[in-house]
Amino acid sequence: MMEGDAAEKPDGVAFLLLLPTVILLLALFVGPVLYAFYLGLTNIALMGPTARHFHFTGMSNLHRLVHDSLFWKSLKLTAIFVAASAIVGVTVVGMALAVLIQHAVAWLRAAVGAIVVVAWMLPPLTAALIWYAFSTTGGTLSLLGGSQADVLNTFPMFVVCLANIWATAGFSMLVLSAGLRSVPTEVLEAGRMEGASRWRVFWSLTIPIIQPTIVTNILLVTLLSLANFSLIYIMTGGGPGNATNILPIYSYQQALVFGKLGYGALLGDVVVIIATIFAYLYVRVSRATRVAAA
Amino acid sequence: MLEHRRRLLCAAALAAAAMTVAGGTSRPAQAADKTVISCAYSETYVFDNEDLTKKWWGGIKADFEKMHPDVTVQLVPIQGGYDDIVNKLSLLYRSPATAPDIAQMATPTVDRFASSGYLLPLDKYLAKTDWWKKFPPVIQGEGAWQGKTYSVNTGENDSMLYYNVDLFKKAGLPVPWKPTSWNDILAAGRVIKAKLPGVVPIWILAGTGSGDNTVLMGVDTMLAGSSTPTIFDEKTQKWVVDSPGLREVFGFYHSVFSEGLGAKISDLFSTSGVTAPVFMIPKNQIAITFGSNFYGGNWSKLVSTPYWPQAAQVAAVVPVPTVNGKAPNISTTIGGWDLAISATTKHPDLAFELLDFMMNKENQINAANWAGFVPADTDYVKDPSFINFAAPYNELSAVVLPYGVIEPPSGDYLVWSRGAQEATGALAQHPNTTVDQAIGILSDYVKNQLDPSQTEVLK
Amino acid sequence: MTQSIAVRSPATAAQPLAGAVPEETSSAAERRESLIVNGLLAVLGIMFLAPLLWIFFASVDVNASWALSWPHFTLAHFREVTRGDFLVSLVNTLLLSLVASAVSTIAAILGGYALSRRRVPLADGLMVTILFLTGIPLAIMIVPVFQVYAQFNLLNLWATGVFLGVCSLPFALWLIKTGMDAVPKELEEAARMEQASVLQIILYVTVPVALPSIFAALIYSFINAWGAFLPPLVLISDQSQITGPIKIYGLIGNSDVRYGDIAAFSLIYSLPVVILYILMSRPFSGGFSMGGAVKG
Repeated sequence: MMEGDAAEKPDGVAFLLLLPTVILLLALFVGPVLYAFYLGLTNIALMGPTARHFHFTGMSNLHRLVHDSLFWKSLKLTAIFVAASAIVGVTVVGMALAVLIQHAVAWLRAAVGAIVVVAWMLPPLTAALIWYAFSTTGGTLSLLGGSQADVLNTFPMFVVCLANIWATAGFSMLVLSAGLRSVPTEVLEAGRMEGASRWRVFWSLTIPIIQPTIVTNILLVTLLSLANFSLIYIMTGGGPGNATNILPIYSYQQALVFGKLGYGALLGDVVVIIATIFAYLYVRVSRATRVAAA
Repeated sequence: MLEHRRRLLCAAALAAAAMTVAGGTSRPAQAADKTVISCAYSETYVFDNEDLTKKWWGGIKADFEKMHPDVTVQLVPIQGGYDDIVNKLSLLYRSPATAPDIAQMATPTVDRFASSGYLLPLDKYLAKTDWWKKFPPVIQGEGAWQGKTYSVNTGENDSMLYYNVDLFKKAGLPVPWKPTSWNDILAAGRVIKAKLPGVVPIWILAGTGSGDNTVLMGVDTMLAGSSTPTIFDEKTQKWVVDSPGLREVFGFYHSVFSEGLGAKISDLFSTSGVTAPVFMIPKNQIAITFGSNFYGGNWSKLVSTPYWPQAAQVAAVVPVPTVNGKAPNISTTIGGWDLAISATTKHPDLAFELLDFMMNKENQINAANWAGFVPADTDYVKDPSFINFAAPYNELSAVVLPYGVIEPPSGDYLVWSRGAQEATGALAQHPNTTVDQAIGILSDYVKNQLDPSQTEVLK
Repeated sequence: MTQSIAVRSPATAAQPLAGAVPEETSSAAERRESLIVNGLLAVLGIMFLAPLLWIFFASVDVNASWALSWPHFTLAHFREVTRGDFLVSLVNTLLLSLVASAVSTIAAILGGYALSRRRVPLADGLMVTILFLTGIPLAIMIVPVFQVYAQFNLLNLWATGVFLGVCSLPFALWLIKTGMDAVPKELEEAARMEQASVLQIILYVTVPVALPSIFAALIYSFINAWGAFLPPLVLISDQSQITGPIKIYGLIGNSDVRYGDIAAFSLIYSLPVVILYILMSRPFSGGFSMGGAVKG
């Protein structure tokens, strides 16, 4: 990507062009994140004597983290939420939509495409309200199972995963559609020529070709779901009985409900670290694909 | 609006040099010759509706500015619910530039704001007023921290038991009803369940959906009338996570939900659980309600949350009895909203003058009626304009008030409260949850969040 | 950038066979297949549509509640939420989103160009760092940002817009950089021969060709800011500047939960996003599907 004569020497122009981005990210993104890492190791509180006069407390918050059974539960719930909704749900549903839309009649393609993309573009607050109404007693979902069924409180994690899939599948569909469109038709036709079924062609030709797109999509959806706060916060507030208390919710609860800003920041830091691990894995996987392709 | 739009174009053009955008478009400065007193308050949470919020605070501003032509009262309404108000206020206080001169805050949070160093001691001002000495000591104490007073109360909420006269008659229960123990309540609930299927026999909040309100109107209210009312043991400085009183309370919840006397969890766990009875009682959907004093005002013509002219005939109120009917046989918590002045205010005297104006009889009774409060002033509660606004509810709320118990002011109370919410939530959702298990949930929660050494068991 | 390689090798391998596909597929099998495809898609579409029913019904129902029921028709909710405060909050949300998308898109075009075309030390590492920034929960940044904003008296709509723009910047940068990677360099060579400045090249050569990815980034930033809830709640202190989501949140928190108003306002509040979709999906359909930007 760096061929071309302009790129032969390091230049001031590049520096100038990057300057706004770098300043903005440092001041309003990286700075606050680093500060949050520091706050995670202090006793800062929302209110009380340590609200303004807080200090570094060493490993004390970390010690608490390790012994906090709710943190471990929350970590597990986060893994379930991300795996079920992002990795399985969104990618599978998004792929199904992308493939079907490619072959459907024009009007159906337009209609379903619009619904799914709008569901993705809807503000998280609206999506959360829609899903609360959809899954609570008397809602559309409960009408299917007898009108008094309280689907949301009976299967809270399942419902919030569905809601996340609903609200994110449109994004996956767009990403994967772009990938599918880039697959040369000749390849697929060749496969069909050799007598392979459509299913087989899809598995052994299409999937390997768009694998980088799929990996990218999984990473993006994972990151978006990891940072998801509004949807679950409005739908369940993390309940009932902490059944949907994923890390962003637990972090918010510690920081802004119990007022323990320091510990809340530490919980948020854990999310950042998980995101970093995913990004690292992504780089490893995409390098491996690149090598395999070459 | 036009000016905004022009500014936007400007902003868009400058966006590459984004850092300058915000600086160039800060709020227009107030007229230089006027003194500004800012007031932060809840926009939607405290008063019964937004229009009444605007009416009360707008009235204060207009009247005070008329009395002081050189003063501008700047209104800073805060959006959202209880937690949002606490958060926003604590953020505003972090910088002298944003700290409001006067702030409305929930009574249990006063200690935390005061201990942060954000509030101005008011003792020297209060000594000169004629209203402060008429406050009951328990309410004066709500604004005290380390021997000084930092806030004044502008109205309280307390707990009462509502029962539906029509439903009671239909079920063949005696009216007027005078429950003297918790078992009386359960007994009436059982009759309702048997005779009137489809009606919620006993509404008592449970779960985490409504936050601490659930505990304030449920567990804490009942605990106040149990054999061991202690939540935080002042002597040992420890949180009580198991006691005979707690077991009596959880035992009551267990009976309600295991016998099918409670409401649906989708109603109880919803964020609107606190106000749901205001709508359900007029529709004859609930027989007995562990409720709050504010329901009555909401049914008045002025507030009309739903306007319910028959309220006084249908929805009767009695105090929540104690567990075994020990005199005076009243259990309630109290919690309300206070006004405080910022420690960094540039105009402490003027700010107190404004606060004093808000505390006058007319403003206080309006606040009580429009927000569903009991006024703190022992004279105001006897005034016909208060009593008749929502009869018979306002009168009983004033009778109950002096017996009120306040929640422990420590911030860690919210952890204990959350544990109690989890415990009642489990009792409501899984009717086979035993009292032992409920105690276990509370105990484990508090021990995990704080430390086992900060908890104790009362025998 | 990796995918082009991955795509090319099987494609070349298949080259000799291309164009030789016989037209002998049985039309019955084809019809059955199309029925299955369209049927499945219709079912999925209905499943995506079902949750939306409530918002349409409740918005025109006199007795709206969380439950789904056939409405007793009224337009009162729409009248209620299109006056005064509500309208102002929508205009505010629009201004906020425009500032945010302008900040992130302009910065990302400049930065993306540098990363795509110029020699930047540690560019690879930078891209990965930028990527994972996408996953950071806003909630943990809000307290530090509040403190900085309070210090410099920036607790207003405009500065909050800048903050939200920066929150979308990592992903926007990533989209635009990858989009620009796909622009043929020969185009720029020609312009450079005519002594065009770097800014001119970006503006007149690169941007027009990379437009799909730029629009994707613009829309991403816009809807992110449009839906933002926590930052405006915490960072905007002036009542006259509050945004739509805060208004909806106020409606839920009210003692009198006005379901019909919530639904009607949510619907109106979502409308610009739908319009955006309709406007953008036609001329820039390639960009909406993230163009080449997702090639990894």
